[in-house]
Amino acid sequence: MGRIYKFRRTLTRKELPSWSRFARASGPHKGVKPPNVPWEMVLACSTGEGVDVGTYVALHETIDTDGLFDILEISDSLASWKNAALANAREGVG
Amino acid sequence: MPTIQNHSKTIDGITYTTRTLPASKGLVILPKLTGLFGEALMGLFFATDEEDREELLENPQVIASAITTIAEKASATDGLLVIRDLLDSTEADLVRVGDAEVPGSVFTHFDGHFSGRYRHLVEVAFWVGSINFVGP
Repeated sequence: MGRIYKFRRTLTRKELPSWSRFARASGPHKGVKPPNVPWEMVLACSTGEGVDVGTYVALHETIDTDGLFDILEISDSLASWKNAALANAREGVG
Repeated sequence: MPTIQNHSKTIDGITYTTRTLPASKGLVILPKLTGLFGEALMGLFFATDEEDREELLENPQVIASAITTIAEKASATDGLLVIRDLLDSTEADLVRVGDAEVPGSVFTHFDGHFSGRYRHLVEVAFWVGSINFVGP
C-alpha cells in the first residue's frame, strides 16, 4: 500500500463546480453581511427566510469545521439544482 | 465523522486528550493558523502522514525553520495566542503548574506548561491541528 496522505479534509476540499445563479439574485440591490458572524455560519444557518437555530447551536456544540463545510456543500449543491430547474422551466425545456 | 470527538496521544511521555473544536471556533482559528504558519509549512506538515511527520519533528533543521517562520509571522497575526486558542479543548495528565505536574487543561496553564519546551509545543500544536483540520 502506498503512502496515505491525510491532508484531505478542511484544507483540501474539492471545490463545487461553478454554476450561475438565477439572474434575479444578482441585481443592483444588495443585502448586508453581518459584521460579527462568519459568513459560512450565516449560510449554514439560513433557511432562506429565517434562521435555523438548531444548526446554529450544533455548530457551537457538536459539529466540527469539516461538518460545517459539508453543510455548505450540500446547501450549495441543492441550490444549484433548484436554480437549474427554474432556469429550465423559464426556457421551456427539460 | 465531522462531529466533535475525543482523541488521545502520548507525546514525550505526556498523554494529551483533545476534543475537536466546534465549527464556530474552528472557523475563526483556521485562517489565523494559516497566517501564522504560512501555507507552505501547513502543507508540509499536514500533507505528511503521522509517521513521517514525527520524523520531520525530530529534525532540528525543520524545527528551527518552523520556529523561525512562526516568529516572523507572529507579529503580523495574533501571534502565539492562536496556538493557545487551538489548545482550548486539550488536557494532559501531567500539566506543569509551578513545581508540580498535575492533570489539567494545557490552555489554562499554557505559559507554565510549555515554557522552555517549544519543540514540544510545536509537536502538540501540529497534532491538535491535524485532528481538527486534517483528520486523526
